[in-house]
Amino acid sequence: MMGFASPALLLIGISVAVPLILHLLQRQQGPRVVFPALRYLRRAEKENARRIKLRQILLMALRMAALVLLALAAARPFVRSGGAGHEPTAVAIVLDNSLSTGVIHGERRLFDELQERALETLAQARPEDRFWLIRAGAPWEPATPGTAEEIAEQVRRTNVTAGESDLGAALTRARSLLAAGAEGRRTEIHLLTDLQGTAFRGATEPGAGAPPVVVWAPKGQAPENAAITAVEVGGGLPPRAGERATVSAFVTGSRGGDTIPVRLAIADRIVGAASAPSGSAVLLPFPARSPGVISGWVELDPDALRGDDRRYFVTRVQPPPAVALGERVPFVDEALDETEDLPVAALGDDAEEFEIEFLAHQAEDLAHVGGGYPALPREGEDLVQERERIAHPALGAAGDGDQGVVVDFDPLAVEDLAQTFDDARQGDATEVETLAAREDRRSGLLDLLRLGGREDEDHPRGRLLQDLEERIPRLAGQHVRLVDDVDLEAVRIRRGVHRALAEVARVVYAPVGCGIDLDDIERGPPGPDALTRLAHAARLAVGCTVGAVQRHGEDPGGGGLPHPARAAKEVGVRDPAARHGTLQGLGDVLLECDLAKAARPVEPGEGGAGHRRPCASCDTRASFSGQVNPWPRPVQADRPAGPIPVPWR
Amino acid sequence: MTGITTHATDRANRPDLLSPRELAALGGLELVARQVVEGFLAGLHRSPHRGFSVEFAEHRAYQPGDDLRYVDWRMYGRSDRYYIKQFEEETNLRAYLLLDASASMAWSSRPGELPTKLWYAKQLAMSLALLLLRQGDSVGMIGFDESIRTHVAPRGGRRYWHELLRAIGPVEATGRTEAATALRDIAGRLQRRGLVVLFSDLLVDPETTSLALKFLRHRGHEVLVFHLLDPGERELPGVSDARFVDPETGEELPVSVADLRREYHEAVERAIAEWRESLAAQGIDYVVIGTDQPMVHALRAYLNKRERLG
Repeated sequence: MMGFASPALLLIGISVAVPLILHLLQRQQGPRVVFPALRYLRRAEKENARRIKLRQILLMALRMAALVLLALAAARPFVRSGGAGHEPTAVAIVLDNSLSTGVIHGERRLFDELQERALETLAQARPEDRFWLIRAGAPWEPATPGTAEEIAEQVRRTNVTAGESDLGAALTRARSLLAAGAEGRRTEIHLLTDLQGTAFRGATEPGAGAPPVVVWAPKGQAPENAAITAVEVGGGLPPRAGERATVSAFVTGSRGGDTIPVRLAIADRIVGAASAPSGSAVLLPFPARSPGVISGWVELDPDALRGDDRRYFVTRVQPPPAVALGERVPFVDEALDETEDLPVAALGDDAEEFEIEFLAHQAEDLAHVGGGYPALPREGEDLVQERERIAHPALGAAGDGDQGVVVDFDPLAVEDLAQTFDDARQGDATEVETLAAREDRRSGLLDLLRLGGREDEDHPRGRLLQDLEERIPRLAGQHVRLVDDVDLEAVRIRRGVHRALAEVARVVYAPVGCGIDLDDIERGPPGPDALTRLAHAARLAVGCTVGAVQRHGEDPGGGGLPHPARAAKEVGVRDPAARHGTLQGLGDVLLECDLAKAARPVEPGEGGAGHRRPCASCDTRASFSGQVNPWPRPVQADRPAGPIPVPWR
Repeated sequence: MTGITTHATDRANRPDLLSPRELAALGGLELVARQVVEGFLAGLHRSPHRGFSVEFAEHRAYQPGDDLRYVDWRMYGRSDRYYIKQFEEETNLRAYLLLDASASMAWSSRPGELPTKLWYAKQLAMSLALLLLRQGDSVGMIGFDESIRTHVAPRGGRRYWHELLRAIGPVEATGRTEAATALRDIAGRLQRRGLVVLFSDLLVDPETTSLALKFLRHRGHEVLVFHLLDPGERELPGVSDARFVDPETGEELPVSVADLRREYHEAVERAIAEWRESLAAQGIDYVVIGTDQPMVHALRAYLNKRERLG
């Protein structure tokens, strides 16, 4: 079967009409020459009319034939002979399966056409031929020689990827493969691509004797396409809980209108929309969220290339900074007095009570150490800001011992023994939800003092559903959603490693086939029980009914809310109970809480760790509501220990 | 008329050998014709004067090739040398110079480089007239195109040449060529038999013209036809395609020169051959003269004709 490599050039054949037109018109044109011997001329024409006419027709036919041949030559005809007409050939097929080849031309993807061309080439193969397939848009993978059938199967399994192609490197690699594996065959490189300009950034000039490259590229104008090339949440800083932020999306490409509409979706909900001209960035409002990992996307209206119309992101909403007061300061009293005078309307309708919490660093324990305890910890110390939490060793550091004095020591490990029973009684971990003033921003002073209003987050049902959701693996597009806010940080299992973020990291939305901007992925540290970071320095405070967290695996919140029913498959990292008993007491050493620390600058390592040193004996935390309060507070001397109930007015 | 025999063969002294362009540089019609004739006569080796009504003029030494009839045997007996007798000759020949003055005669393929056919015909006619008059013949002239435009009755005498000059000078090439009609008219006017010399490009109807010339022959005239051809008429001009226009009729003929070049040349040669054949069949001398040729060829053709006339 005959075909043409450039069939459009067959249009040159239209020019065959030119000789015909000239033949018809030439007698009407030409210069006017005065010539007296017209008699001879007429006679010559008359005597040779037939011959002259025949000669003119032949000349015209020759001219037309020459033009037809020229058109045929330009169209590069070829004859398909079913693969039986060529010598053994080694062909490296470079198949561009980058994201851009997913563009839809008409009603099909461009990549499907590239695939068909590759299969057509393979269909012409002879048994002596050898093929390689190089997927230019996929990560590097070994290209092994194969028969036409084997390579055709590889071609069929190829699909569009989310990456970009490097055709220069692919061609270089194809030349290398052919040079090494052709084994005397004639060599060819078949490049099937959409010829994106960015794909040739690394192209190099082939040397002499390089195999010929047969390029197949789509014809016609590329369809209009707009794309989101970058998404940034919060201008590079993770958004704070309860605070609004922005999401900037950079829009490029072209579309029919002057501006391109952009939408922001968080947790499968459209939360913002805007429009921007091509080549500019658009700011979308990022609503206030509770702490945790937030995933979402920014999208455009679908166009020919769907792959770049939506860009995903995952960010972590940071909890608000905590302010700890090491000792009583006058303005705290004033603030507390102020809260008593707060109007009812300012506290919201849903709130039932206030909970005043104090960060517990026992003032009395610290007082006899001398040197004064700073009212506000300096930056870098654990009370200023919650950072990544790692497990703190149960023992004090070597450098700590010489600075402290023994204030409490239990060599018989009586408390440990009691706690062992306590641990056995508590089968499951207690989910702890931070009680920070998340979205209640009605009073900055209340936030400062941790006077957060209790809202729905503490609702047991919501937490139950939330926990269920966390345990159902899901992919993007699966609508498993039982609660509104996903607070992955709060889901921690007693004795278990933190695995919530592990489910989020390296998220690939396979159905979409697109990468995701992981703006702020923080893997939860394999720390101890979540509550240990909140352990108070005071171990058994006045009025406290539960023991503070002293070590990993101990949950002082056991006296709190009943744990939601669920399968407790998570096995935490904890000390075996056998070694945690009485015998272990012989090996116990002084805990940090047994010592009174002298005032000294915070060690750099402490600030970097960003955790509170767990000390069950120093923790004093309770609440009148009966719930566990993760935010300890300092004990006030003139008030009874424990949370201070504030009557609801 | 006195025959002058010289041996000068220097081309510088032979204006009859000059090309028409060189002749044109010599001067006007009278001067050119005179110089052509003088040069032509100077190149003759033999006296053309023979025939009846002979009056002895002088002797000259015998030269190989001279006719033995003119050897003076008496002088040989006295001096034992050969002498040839030369005579002053009187003739009664009436010559009619017919000049084609149609529009086609005014054409030159290379204006400024080659003369028109009319100019060449005038020069040649006046040269012949001078020769004829010097031989004591009577010479008349008729200019014609569709009809007779100029008519000068034949007379003898050297002074008459100037009258011919005055008559032929103003002749312009206009109108169409109807040689047959003009020749028939001329044949009616020529009462006495004589020599009819036609100067024409013969772009006429061959049949009617041949018939008219044949008619002249039947009237007892000797006819000499000078077919004047411009070199550009033998070959088509170097253009690809053109519309050729007849200057006489204004008729246009679009022609692809490339297709007809060879055919045209063959047609011209064939036409010349036909003319020669048809005229020779009637005893008419036919001489093709190119306007780029020296006039000596035409004059020699005349002399050949004159010799046959005796």
